[in-house]
Formats: sequence, structure tokens, C-alpha cells
Amino acid sequence: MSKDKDNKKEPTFEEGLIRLEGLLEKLEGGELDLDRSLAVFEEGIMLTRKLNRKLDEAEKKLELLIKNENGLPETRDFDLTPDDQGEA
Amino acid sequence: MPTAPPRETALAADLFDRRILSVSQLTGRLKDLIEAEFGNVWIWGEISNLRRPASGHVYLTLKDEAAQMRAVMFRVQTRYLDFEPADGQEVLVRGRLTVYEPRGDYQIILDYMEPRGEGALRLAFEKLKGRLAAEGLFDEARKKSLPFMPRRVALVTSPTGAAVRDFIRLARERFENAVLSVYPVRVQGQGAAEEIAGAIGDLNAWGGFDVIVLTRGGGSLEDLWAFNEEIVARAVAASRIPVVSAVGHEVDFSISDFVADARAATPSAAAALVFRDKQALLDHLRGLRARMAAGVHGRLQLARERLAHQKTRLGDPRRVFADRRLKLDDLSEELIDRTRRLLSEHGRALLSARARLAPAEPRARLRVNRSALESRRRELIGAGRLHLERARDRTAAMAGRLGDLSPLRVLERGYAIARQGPEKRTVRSSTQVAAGERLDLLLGEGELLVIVDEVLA
Repeated sequence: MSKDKDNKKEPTFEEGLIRLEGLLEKLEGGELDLDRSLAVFEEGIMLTRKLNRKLDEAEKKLELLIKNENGLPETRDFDLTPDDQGEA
Repeated sequence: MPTAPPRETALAADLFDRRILSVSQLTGRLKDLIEAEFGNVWIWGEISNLRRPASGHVYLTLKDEAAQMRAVMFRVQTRYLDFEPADGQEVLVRGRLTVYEPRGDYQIILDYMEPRGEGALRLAFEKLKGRLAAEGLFDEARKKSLPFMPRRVALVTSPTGAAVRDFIRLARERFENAVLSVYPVRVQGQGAAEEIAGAIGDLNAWGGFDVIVLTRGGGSLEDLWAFNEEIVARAVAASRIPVVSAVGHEVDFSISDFVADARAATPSAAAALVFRDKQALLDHLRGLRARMAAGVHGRLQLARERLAHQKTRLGDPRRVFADRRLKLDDLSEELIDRTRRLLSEHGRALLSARARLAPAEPRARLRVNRSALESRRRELIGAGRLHLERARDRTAAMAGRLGDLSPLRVLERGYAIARQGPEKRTVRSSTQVAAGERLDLLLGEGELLVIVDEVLA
């Protein structure tokens, strides 16, 4: 649910990355005047920060899906054996 | 007790007839014959007496209801076994018969072994694969691409197998910021295919998943069979959520591998396929950022160089300033000059216009008219005067002439007028006068009364 909302709210990481690469291309193209290139640079840095944040923002969770009697999903914690957690 | 083939009996009898052989000789002949004849045979039977000593070779006995035969599979060949052979298991094997002379027995050296029934499964597999391929279920065009960064991934697998652990471990290593949801299913045995297909259906119905991963560890074709069932293939094909299939191992494919949007050889490979390496993404971002900084730095450098270049071209700013001031002065002077010139030009134009306009000006015209009037008046007066003078002159002349004509003036010059009678008629002819008549003579000065003495002609 919350995931769907996130998707609609702002561009995805991939879109952001494509935009960032586009900005870089412009900047490296050397066609821009100084003011424009500074503006592009600024946007690029903001975007990099945003993308960095995006990499960390999703929740980390491990769950077991159980279908209840109504055919709907319920979730439970899913634990790996201590063995594996040690390795992780 | 196995019955010897009639042909061998005949052969032995034949040999025996000719000469007597040693045991070694006979055994050697048997070895040659048997190994030549049975160099590559397929047989099936049940495993018993299975042993696996330290050498790594596998020793076993193959048997059926009526016979048994010793068999060995050398260690090098066991690497290709994709199942764990066990006593009581029915197997299909391929090998060559060999005679072990010291003991005088024979055995089969195996180079291939599979659980029995696998052949039939393989056939079924190929048939279903052909049918689904013909339907276009394997077409690349049908395949959905995996999301760049999945937030929630569903694992359809056994919750207890090594597969789920392998997947989760690598997924966490690569990209921990995601939800991993395990949908537990049986992955082999009766009903497994239905459970797997049902899970794919449920996940699509519930929504909220970015990728579905079907996985189980390697096993025999029979073990993996659930993933080769049509019901699973159909469920994978119908899934709106991209499906990654990681079933079996490097060399074997399952039907679900063919239908899925992406295939991985192992659960770990599936995790690597689904999750990008976060560190690599971070590095990539850092790289982009560095390039960006380098780009703008380069741009700034360029601007700086240009500025420096301009500076040298401009020279010392104070001099420039002085130059500019001089120039400014020049310009201002010129401006003033021009303004003046313009002003004077315009002034002249104004004057000339005024001059041209002046005659048209009413007062001026009035003045002109007035002066014209005046001059006319003067002229008139002058002309009148002239006229008068002329008239006077003429009068004077006339008077002169009149004077000249005046009898008195004539008389002054010595002439006399003779007048006759009381009426004093001027006598112009002698005929008018008779002798003795009395005439009045008017002289220049005074009068004479005379009597005519004689009348001459």
C-alpha cells in the first residue's frame, strides 16, 4: 500500500538515474554557458543526494506469507536459522 | 541361475573340440568376446548392496526378480549423477560389461545412471515443452522486464530448503532495503505443482509485489517435476508480476525456466538478478557525482581562462580607466559639438523657415500692405502733384503761349490792332474800311483814334 503511494509520488530511482545521466551528458557536452552549467550541476547534486536517500529509504523486512481462511494474506516474521544469521 | 546363451555354448563346444584350454585362456577368450559384444548396453534393475568406500567409486548390485549382476561406477563418472542412488531404487543404467579375470567374474562398469521412470518423464517434458513453445509461451516478446529496484519480492519456495536461505543471504548482501516475502509451498511430490501455481495466482491477486521468484535447489528430473507441470507453466505465463525462475542447475532447464520472464541457474544467481548491488549503485552515483563536479570544474576553469585572456587583452584596469575617461571626454565633446551643430543647423533652419514664414505672417503682410498703401498713397500724391505741376507747367506754357498769343504781347512787339465801330470789331482787311472812317488803334501802350486817309488795296 505505502509502496504504491511512493511510486506515484515522485520519480523512481531508475528515472532519477536516467535524469542524472542526462544532466551529466549536458554538462560534459560543454555547450552550456557558465550560468546554465552551474544550474545543471546544482540540480545534479540535489538529485544525487535524493537518489542516495532513496537507496536507504525502503524498509528491510523478512516475512512469511500465510493465506488465511478468507484467502487473504497474513504476514509473520520469518527467521532464518541462527546459522545463517551468523553468516549474513 | 542364469541360462547361458545357446550361441556361447556352441562356441565353447567348438573350441573344446579342437583343443584343451587353460582357465586363463578361456577366461581371456570370454573377456574378449564379452567386452566386444557388450561394450555399450542399457539395462535397468534395482539397486542393492550399495557401497561407497573412501575411493569414491560406487559399488552396487543390479537385480531383478530372476538375476543379479555386480556393477561399479568410478568416481569420475559419479560427478555427473544428478541424484543420490540408494538401495531399493529402480534405475536405468548404461555401461560396458567387463570380465575380472583373477576372480573369474564379470561386472558392468557404469557411465550413466538415472532413476527409472526418468526416461518417461523426459519424454513428457519434451512433449510439453514443444507444445508450449508452439503456443508462443516462451517468446521473448512476452517477457516482462524486471524492475530496476524492487521494493517487495515474493519467494515461492520451500521455507526450509537451502534455496530460500541462499537467496535471502545474497539478496541481503546486495540490497538490504527491500521486503522479502516467503510464500511457503511444497516444491516436490504430489500436489506441489498445484500449490506453486496457486501461490503465483494469489500473489497476483493480492498485489503489492514487484517480482516473484520461483526457486528450489537442484535435484533429479523427478524432484524438479512440479516445475515442469503445465499448470505451473500457465500460472507463470499469466502472471502480471514478473517471474524469475531458478529451478534446477546449470545444465538442466525446467519448463518454468522457459516460461518465466527471467531464468537463473541457482537461487543465489536469482538474487543477483533481482537485486542490484547497492554498493555498486552507490559507487555509480559517486562516479556520476565526481564526473559532474569535474564537468562543472572544467566549465569554471574554461570561464576562468577566458577571463584571464580578456584581462590580458584589456590590460591594466587603471589605464583602461584612463583611456576610457579620455574616450569619454572625446565623446562628450563630440556630443556637445554635434549638439551645437545640430542646434545651429536647426536654428538656421528655424530662421530660414521663419524668414520664409515671415511674409506670410499677417502683421507683416499688414505692414507690407500698409506700406504698399502708403507708397501708393505717396505715389498717388506724387502723381497728383506731378500732374498738378505738369498742369501748372502746361498752364504756364500755355499762359506763355497765351501771352505770346495775347494781342497785348503782340502789341508789345510793335503791332497794333485796328478796331472799328462802337463794337470795336477787329479790322482784318482793308476792304472793311472806307476812307475817312474813324478807327480805333490799340497799341502796346495806349490807344489812338485815327481817320483813314486813303484805302489802299
